[in-house]
Amino acid sequence: MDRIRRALFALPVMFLLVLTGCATPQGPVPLDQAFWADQHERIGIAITEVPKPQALMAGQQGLLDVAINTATSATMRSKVETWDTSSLKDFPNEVAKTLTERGYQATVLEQPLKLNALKPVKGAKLGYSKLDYTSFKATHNVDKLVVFAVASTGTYRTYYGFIPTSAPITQVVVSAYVIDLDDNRLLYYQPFTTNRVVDGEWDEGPEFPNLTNTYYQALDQTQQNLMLPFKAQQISAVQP
Amino acid sequence: MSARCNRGLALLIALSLLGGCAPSRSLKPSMTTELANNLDQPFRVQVAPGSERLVGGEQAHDGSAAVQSGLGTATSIDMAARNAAANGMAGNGSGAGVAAGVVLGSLIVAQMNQNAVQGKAKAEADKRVAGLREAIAAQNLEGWYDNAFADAFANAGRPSNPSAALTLDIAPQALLSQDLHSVRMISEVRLMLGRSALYQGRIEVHSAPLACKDCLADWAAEQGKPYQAALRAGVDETVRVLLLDWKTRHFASSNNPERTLSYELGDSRYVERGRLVDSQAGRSLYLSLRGWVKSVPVAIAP
Repeated sequence: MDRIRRALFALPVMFLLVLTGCATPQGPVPLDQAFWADQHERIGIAITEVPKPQALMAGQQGLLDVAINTATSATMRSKVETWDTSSLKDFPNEVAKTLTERGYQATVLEQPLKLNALKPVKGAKLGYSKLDYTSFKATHNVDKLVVFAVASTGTYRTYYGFIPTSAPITQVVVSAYVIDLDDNRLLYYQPFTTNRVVDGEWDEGPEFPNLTNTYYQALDQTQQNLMLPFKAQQISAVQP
Repeated sequence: MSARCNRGLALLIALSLLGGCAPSRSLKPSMTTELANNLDQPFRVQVAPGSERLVGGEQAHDGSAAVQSGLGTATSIDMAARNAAANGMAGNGSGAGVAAGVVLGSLIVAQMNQNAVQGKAKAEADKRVAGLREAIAAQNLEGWYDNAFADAFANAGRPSNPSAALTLDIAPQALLSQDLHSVRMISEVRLMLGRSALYQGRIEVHSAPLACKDCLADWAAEQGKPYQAALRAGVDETVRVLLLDWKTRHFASSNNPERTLSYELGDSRYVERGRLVDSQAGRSLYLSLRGWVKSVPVAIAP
């Protein structure tokens, strides 16, 4: 009888253990007004290493298909890899300038941020960063940290085997975070995926002018979207 | 024949059939050495007809729909391939034909889906400007472009000469911006001596944005006078830029580097890679990556 009781008590625990493996992913977090409230707090701004633009291939492809698709897109790939990402690398300076002009103390962390060098937070809850940024408070003398994590830049094209099922689309994928360095609480989180189709003909190698333009438009649109909360909230913050 | 050979053969057949089907729609600017010898010669201006050239809508370029279309196409292809396999056709000697059929059908489906996405964007653009198009059509502006270009060239000291050996073919298209605040006039221009093109170019002119709340109504007010004024200004600027392009041999002496140029007109933001070649009186001229000349009503810092 005791054994049966112990087994019955263990059931809910086992159930919870199973459920913890089905964690809810972190959804977007709108910018907390606390970010604007304390003007004396220091804000650090960092960006991860900006990956070189690349031509991503998605869809059902075997190894041979990947080889064929890589070969047939070689000219485009060569052009994509020459595209410039310096405006994204310089973006933290623009954010710092915007915040400084509004009276906030903002400083750019010079080195690209290496996320894999940060320790994960055990049992991180929703609304909190999964990585531990608290050490930045002491090492960089900042109270809050704005992070831009760039996942990819370049083009994206879908395939079925060796059959392209779409024209290349230019894509920039970045996530923006604002972290309270006291407890890793997310004051802001928003993932951005900017996709743009080419205006007109895309397949005009070796220079691909329309595709190139569309990439820089996607890059600009991304930067405009990333900047928006830091501009828009300022307006609402000063209004009575 | 192995399955992989079948696929390779099918790809070769499909690509060779479909490779020549896509027409190139982009004009490549060019200027022959003979143009310099003919710059002072009279020419006859010939404007492409069509009332649809007076009003069009700028199309959106959101990639999300295209991504979904591509994924949907992949699903269709997958189903077709599975059906072929389920019917057991691949093993009875007709493998190459089935594979070619699936590939051809897939390419056609992919193209159709792409066309559908583009068609939808065009339909939305046309719907956006439908009211203005109707208002302008009601004015019966047949030959409006002919008169406007004739006046502009006359004012620039280069009147059209009906008996000239040189023919200046102009195909203009006016597009209302997505935010409805400004008009973009795109003109493809060719200077022909017989069948030879001494000059071929594309000139785009943005109007100054209209301060408006109900923009379509404001453009169409007083029998479309504000809109016609914007078109007239676009024609005048097109002629000015064209003559400058000839005079400077496509801005050959400009050595500004290529960079990302961004500017805002009304509620729209424009971003393009190009080379700034001229900036004066509140207007900037730049060459796009394709060598097209663009005139915008903003001062872009050199």
